Amino acid sequence: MNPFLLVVPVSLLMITVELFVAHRRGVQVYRLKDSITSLNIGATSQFVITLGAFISVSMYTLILEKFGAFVWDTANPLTWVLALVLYDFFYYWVHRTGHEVNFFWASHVIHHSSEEFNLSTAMRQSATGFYFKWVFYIPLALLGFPLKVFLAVGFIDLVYQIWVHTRLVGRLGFLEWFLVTPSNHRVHHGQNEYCLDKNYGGIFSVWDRLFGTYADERESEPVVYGVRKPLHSWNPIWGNVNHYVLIWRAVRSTPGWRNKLMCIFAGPSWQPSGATPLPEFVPAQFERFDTPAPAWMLWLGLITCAFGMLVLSYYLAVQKNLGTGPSLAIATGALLFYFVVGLLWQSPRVQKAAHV
Amino acid sequence: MSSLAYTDGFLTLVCLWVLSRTALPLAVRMAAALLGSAAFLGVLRFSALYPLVPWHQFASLMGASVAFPLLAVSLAWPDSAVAQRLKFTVIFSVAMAVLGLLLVTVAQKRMLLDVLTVLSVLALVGVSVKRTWWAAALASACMLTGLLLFAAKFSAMVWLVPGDYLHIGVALGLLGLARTAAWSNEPLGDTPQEALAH
Repeated sequence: MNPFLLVVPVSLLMITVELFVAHRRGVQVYRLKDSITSLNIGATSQFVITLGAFISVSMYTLILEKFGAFVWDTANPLTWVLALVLYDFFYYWVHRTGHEVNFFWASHVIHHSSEEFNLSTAMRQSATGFYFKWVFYIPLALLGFPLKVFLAVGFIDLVYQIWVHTRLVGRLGFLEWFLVTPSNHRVHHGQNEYCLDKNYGGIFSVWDRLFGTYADERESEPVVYGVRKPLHSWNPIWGNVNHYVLIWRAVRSTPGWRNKLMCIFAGPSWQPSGATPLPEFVPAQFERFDTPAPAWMLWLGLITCAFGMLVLSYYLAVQKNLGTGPSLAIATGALLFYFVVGLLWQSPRVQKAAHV
Repeated sequence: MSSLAYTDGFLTLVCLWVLSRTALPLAVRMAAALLGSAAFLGVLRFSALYPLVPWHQFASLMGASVAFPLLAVSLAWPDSAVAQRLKFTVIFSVAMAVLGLLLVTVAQKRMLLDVLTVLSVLALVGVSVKRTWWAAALASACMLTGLLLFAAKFSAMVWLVPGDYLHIGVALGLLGLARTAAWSNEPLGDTPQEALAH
């Protein structure tokens, strides 16, 4: 069975629990449009990644067969522990690259595009990261860790990261020293100056402490979630390609081939010398993105989201037995569906209707 | 013990010496690190001390697909981000490593990777000659000779096998390149004499 099939109901259950707890505490941590968009983005990524995973699995297998040096006893728990720790170490570098190289940020930015921070934010996964992430895990194949170990520890690493996307859990004492927790992950999702390019760890925060990228949450300065170049869209497809388009425009408008290369490979905040500096970020002045929508539109959003989840569950259940053609057809159909839903949400007519 | 263990040992020492020269561009030292890793694994393999054959093959693949292009870029554009800044050296290295891996494991066109390697060394020769950096040209020519003798499976002397020529050629090439004024920290002129005159 595809383990991601379990992730859908478990995540929805966790979101329900978080909503309930937030309601009991009288705090608002969800906004309907943002959360539905997060779930739609999550579903979009799953439709694509089930196909994209083929690349990772194939490359891992090829390298393992050709260059894998050692044989590991999978009955020994230490094998799994070591694989998990190593996987998390390489995940740190995948994640850091995803933030510090503009072209890879284009893939990861969608995860940070929410201006809220809750368990639905964890669902905002990229649909375009599969083409480069496998490269970072080559050392595991060279060490000879079997494919099933690699996939299992990758899944554990991913699933661990769901629960840290919440504002309802405070600091966790000594665990903050070595684990990724809701507190230090809130910093990672912030756009305050002290939050930028910090806390990349997946399960262990020791990598951040080791490589100088750790920052503690500050009580004196509440975290403002989101990114400095906001997405301003509810469309999951546009969210996945938006930053690639921005890079393309920057490359076209920047003179000199060295500068053009820097637009692609330098950090997301890089600008050619002489460019107008970006305005200073003032947390207190930040306004979250919102668009007016009539009640029927919100209901439609909920219904389309639920429908998408059902189709995704079916797809994950049967995908193994489907051929490439039907898999591609369902995934393409799903992407079109989400694209149309996204367009509808931001249609000027709908917004006008909301005002009326 | 195979002669390859000795020549790999010589290459390892040369690479360590290049690595220790902090005045050299980062990319040159990265190339030396890659070639040195391959050579060290070669020593372990051919001396039968601890033969990690798959790793030696992988490191050799990285040497071919990453180290020579890194050297070429560093000589052609010594002040470029790839030559000087760790982040961009790593990005370039990873991109070239992926290209090498795809050529060898997916496309199974090892020949194309060999062509890429030879082109990189030809670029080293070409750039050196064009800029009249004769020491660098001679060093690059040594490297090219080693590569070509290896490719041609040349074996004129009974105690040396084709791989030895590759190791010796690359080691002499690296030695020469690392001593060239082209990578001096001083501002560069068009010729080594001009560079030294600064």
